[in-house]
Amino acid sequence: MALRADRIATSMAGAEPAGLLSRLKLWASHPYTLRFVSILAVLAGWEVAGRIPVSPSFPTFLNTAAATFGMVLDGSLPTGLAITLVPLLIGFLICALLGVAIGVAMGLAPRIEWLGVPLFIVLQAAPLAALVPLIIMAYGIGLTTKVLIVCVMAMPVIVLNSFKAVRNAPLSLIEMGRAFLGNRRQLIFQVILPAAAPVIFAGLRLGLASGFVGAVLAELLVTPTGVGDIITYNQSIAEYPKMYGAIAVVIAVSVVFIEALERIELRYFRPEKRGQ
Amino acid sequence: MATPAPISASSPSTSGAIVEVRSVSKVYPGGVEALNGISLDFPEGQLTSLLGPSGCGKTTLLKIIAGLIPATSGEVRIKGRKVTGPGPDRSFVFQDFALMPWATVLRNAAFGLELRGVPRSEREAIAESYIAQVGLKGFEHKFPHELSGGMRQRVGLARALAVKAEVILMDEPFSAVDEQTRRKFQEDLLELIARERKTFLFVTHSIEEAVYVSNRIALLSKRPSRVSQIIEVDVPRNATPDAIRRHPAYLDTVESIWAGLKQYLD
Repeated sequence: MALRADRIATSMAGAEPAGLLSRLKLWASHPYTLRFVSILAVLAGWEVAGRIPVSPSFPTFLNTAAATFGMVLDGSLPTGLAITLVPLLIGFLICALLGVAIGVAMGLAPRIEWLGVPLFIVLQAAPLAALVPLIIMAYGIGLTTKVLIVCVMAMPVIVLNSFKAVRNAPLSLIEMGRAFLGNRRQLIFQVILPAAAPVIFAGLRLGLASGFVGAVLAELLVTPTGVGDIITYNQSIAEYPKMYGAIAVVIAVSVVFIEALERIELRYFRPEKRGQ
Repeated sequence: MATPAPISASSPSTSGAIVEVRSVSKVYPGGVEALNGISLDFPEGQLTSLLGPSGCGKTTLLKIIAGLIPATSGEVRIKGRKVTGPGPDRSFVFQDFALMPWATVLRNAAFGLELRGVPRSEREAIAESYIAQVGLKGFEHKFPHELSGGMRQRVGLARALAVKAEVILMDEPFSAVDEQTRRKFQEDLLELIARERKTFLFVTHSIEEAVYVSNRIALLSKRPSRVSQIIEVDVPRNATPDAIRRHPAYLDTVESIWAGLKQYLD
C-alpha cells in the first residue's frame, strides 16, 4: 500500500527524472532487496568488528568465509555436518510424530491435558542443558543420548503448540461441523486438525530450531563428533576462522531446514496460500 | 410441565407448524437467564423472523432449535419429533459464515454432503448447482479469503441449501455484510425462498430486514426473553424490491414494530 502511494506521489511530480527516482524507490523497497541489504549489513558489521579487532579470537568475515570454503573443499565440513544431522533428524522425526500426537490429544481430552501440560511447561522452562549429565548417566555417550538431547530440546515447544492449536480451533467451525452432522472423528480430522495446522507447523519450526541447538549441544557436551568436533577442535588450536565457519554453516543449514519445512506446510497443508 | 399461555393474541396454529417450541428456557452456567418459557410455532413453508433487542437470546433460541445447545427445560419438536441434537431436517447459516479457510468455495458448499458420506462427484454436482443459484458461478475454485463478506455468506447459504434440509436456520446472516450488499442479498434471498419452498427461521436485529424478508415476525422481549408479539407481515411479495420498500403496509409494519420495541430501550 505504502509502495503504491509512493508511486502515485512521485508520478504526480511528473518529470522523467522523478519517474526514474520512483523506479529506484520501488526497487529499493522490494522485499528481496531489503533482505539482501539486511544480510549484507550483518556481514559488513562482522568484517569491521573482525578488523578492529574486537577480540583476538574473533576473525573477520572474509577470513571465516575462506576457511569455510577450505573445509568444504577438503570434505571435513560436509562429513561433519552429515554426522551431526543423524541424531537431529532421528530426534526431530520422533518429536514431530509423537509430539504432535501428544499435543493434539491434550487439546482434545481435558484429562490428558491435566496429565501432560504441567510436565511440558516445566520442561520448557527448565535449563535443559542441565539434564544432559543425567541422560549421559542413563544412556551412555552414544547416539541414543544425542537423539534424546535433541528430543528434550524440541519436544516441549512442539507439544505445547499443537495443544494450543487444537484448543484454539475456531468454535464456530466446530459448531458448523456439528450442525452439518459431522461425527467426532470427522470433526477432528476434517475441521479441527486443518484449522490447527498453521500453529502446529509454527511449533514444528520452533522445535526444529531447538533441535539444532540440541544436536550441537550434544556434540559439545557429550562426545565431540561432527560439527561439534570441528568447533571444539579448532577452538583448542586457536583456528578461529574455522571455528566460526562451522558455527555459521550450522546456522545456515538450520535456516534452510526451517524454510524447507515451511515449503512442505504450504505445499500440503495450506492450499489457500499456494497460488500467492 | 404446564405450557404457559402465549402472551400475545396470536394463536399458535398447530396445523402446518413444522417447528414447535414448547416452554423452552435456557439458563447459562453462571446464572444468566437467556430464555424464559418461550413457546412458539413456525409454520411450514414460511419465513419467520425472530426479532428483538441485542442480547435478547434470539441466537440462543435458534441454536436450541438447531440442537447445537441444549435447553435447560422445555422442548423443541420438528415435525412432531423431539430435538435431541443436530439433524438432517435442519441446516444452519452462521453469522460469521463459518467457512473453512483452507477449502475452496466448492468444497465448503459441499461440506455438509461430504460429512454425510456422499460420493465426491455427486456432492460436487449438487454443490455446483447451488453455488450457481446463489450467484457465485465461476467462483467454485476460489478460497474464502478471496471473496467479499457478502459472497462468503452466499457460500454459507449454498452449503445450507445443498443438504436439502426442510428447515433452514439463519443466524443474523447479513449482519457482517455491508449495507449495499445486504440489500441485494435480501432481494436474492426472497427469490430463493420463492423457488425453494422451504421453512426459514431468520434471526435479525434489523426491523427493516425482518419486515422485508419475513412472512411472520416473532418479537422477543429483552432478557430473559419471551415472545412479546407475533406480527403477520402483509406485504405483497411479487412486487419489485422498490415497490415493497415503499408499500404502505411495509412502512406501517416497520413503524409499529419500532413503537413496540422502543419500550425496551430504556
